[in-house]
Parts: sequence; C-alpha cells; structure tokens
Amino acid sequence: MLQALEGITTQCVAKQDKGKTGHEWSVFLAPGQIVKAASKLYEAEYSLEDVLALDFEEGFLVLYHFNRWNIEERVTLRVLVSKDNPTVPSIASIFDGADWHERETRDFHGVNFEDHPNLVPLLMCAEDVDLHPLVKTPKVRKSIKDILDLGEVISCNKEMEELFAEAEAEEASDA
Amino acid sequence: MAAQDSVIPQELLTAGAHHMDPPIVNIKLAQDLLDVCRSMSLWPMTFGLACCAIEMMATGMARFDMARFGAEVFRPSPRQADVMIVAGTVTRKMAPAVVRLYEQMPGPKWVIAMGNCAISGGPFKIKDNYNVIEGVDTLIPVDVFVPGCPPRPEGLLEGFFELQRLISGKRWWPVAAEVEG
Amino acid sequence: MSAYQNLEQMTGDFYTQKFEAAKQDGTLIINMGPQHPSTHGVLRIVIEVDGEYIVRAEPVLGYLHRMHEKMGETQTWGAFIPNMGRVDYGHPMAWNWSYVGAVEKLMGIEVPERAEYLRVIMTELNRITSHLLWWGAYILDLGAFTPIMYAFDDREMLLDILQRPSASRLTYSNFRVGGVQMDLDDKCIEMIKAFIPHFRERLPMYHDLVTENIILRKRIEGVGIIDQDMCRRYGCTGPVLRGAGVAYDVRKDEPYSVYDRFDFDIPTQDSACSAGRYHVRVAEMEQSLRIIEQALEQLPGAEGKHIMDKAPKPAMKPPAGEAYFNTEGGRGKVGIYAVSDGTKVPYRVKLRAPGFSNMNAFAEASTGTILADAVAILGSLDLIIPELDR
Repeated sequence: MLQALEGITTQCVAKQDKGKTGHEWSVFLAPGQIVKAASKLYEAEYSLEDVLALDFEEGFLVLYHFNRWNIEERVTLRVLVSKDNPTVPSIASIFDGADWHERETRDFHGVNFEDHPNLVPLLMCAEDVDLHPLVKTPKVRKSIKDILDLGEVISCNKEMEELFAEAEAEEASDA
Repeated sequence: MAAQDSVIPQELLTAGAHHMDPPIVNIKLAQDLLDVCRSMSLWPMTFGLACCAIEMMATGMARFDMARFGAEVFRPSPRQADVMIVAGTVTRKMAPAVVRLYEQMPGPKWVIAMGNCAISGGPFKIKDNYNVIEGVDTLIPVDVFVPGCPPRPEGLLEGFFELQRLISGKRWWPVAAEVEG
Repeated sequence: MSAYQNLEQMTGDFYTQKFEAAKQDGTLIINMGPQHPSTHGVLRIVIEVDGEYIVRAEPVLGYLHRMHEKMGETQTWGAFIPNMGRVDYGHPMAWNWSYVGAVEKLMGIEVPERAEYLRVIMTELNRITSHLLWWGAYILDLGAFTPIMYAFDDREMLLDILQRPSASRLTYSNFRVGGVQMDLDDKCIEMIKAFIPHFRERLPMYHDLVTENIILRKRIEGVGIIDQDMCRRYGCTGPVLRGAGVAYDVRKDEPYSVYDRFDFDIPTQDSACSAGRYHVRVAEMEQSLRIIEQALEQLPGAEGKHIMDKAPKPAMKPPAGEAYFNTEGGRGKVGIYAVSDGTKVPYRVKLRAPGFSNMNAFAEASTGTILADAVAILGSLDLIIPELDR
C-alpha cells in the first residue's frame, strides 16, 4: 500500500494489527491531499467501503475505508478537521459511491464537503438540514488519544506526534 | 359499522374528519347485514413499511392464509382498500404520506396497527428520539392494535378477527385451543 | 417555454422540486414510492421519463431512518444486539455476527469451537430464507403469483427450524458476545437433516418452473448492466459483484470463524446484468446447503459449549479502541466499525450496509432503460430498505 500512496504528503502512516482492529494501514492526511490519495487508490484497484466521521474534542475525524477484492488489505484514511470549519474536499468525482456516504456524514455530523454535486439531506428530513444527531455533548466527548491508538508508526510528522504524545506518556507512567 | 363498539376516538387528529353520513334508507337489519358482509370481505392495503411487512406477507401465504377470512386481495391503491394494516415503523419523513393515504381511502375504513413500532414506536422509542413517530395513532385513528415485534401471523389473524368483531358485533371463528407440551 | 419555470407554483416536496429544476423539455416526472406494490419497503425514486425511457433517476432515502447509529451511542453494548436483528430483517444473523465479531475483536475474546459451528449453521439457514424471500418477491414484482407461494412454503419449514434456537421467526437476536444464546437441540438437528434433501428436490422444480421460463429470461437478460468498474466506484459487493464476474466473497477472501474448513464454491456470472445476479443467488442456495451438511458432520467433534464460560454481561466494558469486522450477508459485505472508549456504552457504531452501496449504482444502471426494466433492476439488487436507511 505504501507504493499506492507514493507522492502524497501524509501526516502519519502506521501499520495496525489486523487481528485486533480489522485494518492494516492507517494514514492521517491533510484535507487538501484526500482527493489525490483517493485517485491513487482508485488506480491501484481499491474500492470504497464507506466514509464516516467521529466526534472528538480536537475536531471531527473523517474516516475513509478502502479495500481490494483479490487481496485483503483494508486501508483507512483519516482526516482531522476542526469544529469551526469542518470542510473536506469531496471525492465523489472519483468514487461515485462517496456521494451518498458524504451526504450521510453531513447529515449526522455536519461535516461540509466541498465540490459535492448534491449536498442535501439524505437520511434526515429536508427540514432537518441543521440537525446533526451524532454530534456529542461535551460531557461524553472524549479526546482522540484516549480512544485511538497509532499502532506501529512508519512515519509521522510533528503535529500528529504531539496529538498522541500525552497518551504515550501516560502509558509509560502506567507500565 | 357498529358505532358504539368503535375504539375510534371522537376527537380526530387528521385534517380531514373521518365522518360518514348515515344512509338515506336506514333500516337496522339491512345495516347489520351489510356490516357482516363488510367484515367478511375486508380488503387490506399493502402498507408494509418494515419487518412486520414480511410477517404480513407470510399471513397471506399458503400456511396461514388470510384469504380464508375475507382478505383475498391486497390492494396497493388506497382507493380500492378498506383496511390499512400499518405494518412497520413510521418516521417523520413518511408521516405525511401515511396521513395522505388514510385520507385517500374511501369510507367505511379501518386501521390495524401491527407491531410494536406502529403502536408506540416500539424498540425505537428512545430518549433521544428524533425521527420515529411514537405510534401511528398520533396521526390517524386506529381500531385494532396487534402487539409483537414482529407479531406472529397467528397474532395478526387474531387482530383481524377482533376487527371483524368490531364491525359486525360478534366473533365468527373458534378460539384456538390450548396446546399442552 | 416550460411550465416548470416558476418554482413557487410547483407542487411536490423539497426533493421533487430540486429534481424538477433540471427537467428537460418533453419529459414527465413521476414518483415510484414511497408506497408502491412491491415488497422492498419504503423506497422512493423520482424518475424523469421520456415516453417509456428513463432519462434520469434519483432515489430518495430516509423514509425508514430508525436511528440505529444514534442508538449505538445510547444503548449498552449488549442491548444493541436486538437492533442488529432489525436493521436487515432478511439476513439478520449476518448483522448479529458482524456486531458481536467486532466486539469480540475489541475485547480479544475467543469463541468456543462449537459456538462457531452453530453460528455457521444458523447463518447459512438464514441465508437460504433470505434468498427464498428475495426470489419469491422478485418473481412477484415481475408478475408471477405462484412461485412466491412455494418459496414461502419452504421458508416456513426453515422458520420452524430456526425458531427453536432463537425464539423468533424473523428478527433474530440470538447471537451473544462469546457465542450464541441457545444450543441446537436434537429435534432441531433432525429437522435440518430432513430439510436438506427436501430442498434439494425443490430446487430443480424451481429451475424448471421459473428460471428457464422465456418470459423471465426476456425480462431480465441484458437489463441493468453493473460492470466491474461501476462496482468499484460504488463499492458494490455480494451477488451484484459476483454477477459482474468478480469472485469476491468475504467467506473465502477474508475468512472468519470456521469457514476455511468447508468445501464450497463461489458462483459467479459474467453477464453483469439482472439475469447474472439472479443466477448467482439461486446457485448460492445450493452452496449454503453444502456448507450446512459439512457443518452438521463436523459439529459433534467440536469442543466447547454454545457460549464461552463467563461470557460478558450486556453492560460490558470493552477496552478503548476501534475494530472493523465484516461478514458475508445475503446482500453483500456487511461491516460493523465499532469504537469503544472503555465505558459500557459504545462511542460510535458505524453500520456498513451492502444495500446502501448497491442501491447507489441503480441511478446509473437504469438510465436509458424502460420503466418496466427499472422494476427488474430494483428487484435484482435485493434491497431491504431498513438497511439503506438504518
């Protein structure tokens, strides 16, 4: 997979434990890189499984799951966007299926997808365009480092390290 | 229909009132006879929304066979149906369609709410409910409630018999015997 | 000058108005659904037709949005299993399995061998009921009233078998984290052993009655092409993908549980049309019978009970983390992505429904066909609407 995403600036690339998490590669990207990454994966014969968002204190984490038919290798692209401007470019021009997945993500979390051909409510009523039911209340919202684990890091830039740094310090103090 | 037996509340919640003018020639014997005829040939409208629809289909199939009791034809068009069996969950997006279909049915008409979702929202009545209508009787008047998730076909048949009792005044079919073991 | 220029005068709701805004001259806009005489459920498709030919189609979803993912964040881990029984009432055991499989991954639990075999037997029996329901309803949509009677007859036999370990007829929730709720008793195994030869006799009858029928063949051959590139772009899986020639089945390509111990084929067809998808599903029923036979032979030798000792309680607390588990459902690849924050309520449960991605391909597949073909294509996708809307 690393060959497939060659040439894309990534924020963090890590290999995950397939038996435990179900996917092999976890790649953090900046929003501007997602369209290029999706088109590279399309050429490498990956198909899109789904697009979803997670609500953390640091912002919304938009996840893209890709997998291949003949080789079992799930790749998760992760894009962290801030709460005040949750905008990600849409990949509907490359993977047509992303059209509906992104509409659903907008319905549930309010993430805005630029250049989306038809960003209207998909599952919610048309009048409920501003209702985002899966956005959490501050009481239950957790931080990204409490939940996600970076895994076996191949390459990582400064910001991602800092984001997960406290968790490692806590683990080191527990151990 | 036998008005004193009806469970339809007098205060109706739809915009169009469910009201039937009394017939011009109002002879009780003739009306009773017509009520029996109506109860023996209730034509349901296919309004299966979710899982209960499959049990409604199974009730119409060869093993349980609702056609024996008069529900011979399931009509997709509301204009040709007497009974609306609301089988499944009604959501806010679907609610205007439910009311419109009810209003398109010509009287006399009846409604069976089948399944827990149609009775009260069922398993989807949670504290943070934002989309499920908690019971179709908040939209349209309901005559018979058939509980279950989904109700067994025998349960739907019993609900059907109850509706026949409401219309004609008596239950025509034997009550199922208790089975030991 | 089109009469639809003035939007204020138009009737119809938000979606119709949006669709009509791009209307061409000389076409008619009609609604298929949300209440229509096919058994798929509440699906609405806004179609622009030029005579009989479909120029543009846009499905409108959400009429059965029952907030499953929201309930995933408010129910405890164990209390979410009945939701999985209802999200796809055609093949609920595949959804049950995906969910408990994801939780077992999070908790690092190993399921006893006997429970794995029980899961396989019940899921494959459920797959046959799902395909029978699809088959009967599809032929009913195309106009034939008899095959569904026979299909439901066989299905009732299977429901009598499946209600013994699960106490339900349709919305099964008998999977537990660590195994299954009840073991199969001897009467149940006897009934399954009697069912297999009975069904093997019925399948050729269905083949003679329906599959080679010239009317059916004319209606479904060459209709609704969904080829491999479309499948990749939309993420189609299951019989839709196998009908396009790709032998991708989660049971063989990402083997889970004990599926690697069985000998079964993955039927594929190359035609990529509705007939291809039809033949794939009918052939899959026979393959399911083979798996059940082999599982019944291997069941007595399996170790363990039907559930692990000290199985987690419904208010369990898996350690923090994420897990993705998928299984092969009757409609395609069913996936559950569960995120835990260490409390007894999940942080996020994402349901990846195969029907959602398959339906996405409908708009492109039906453009240029006639209206009757749209019904044939819709039936061949085997949709269960609560899965699309969740």
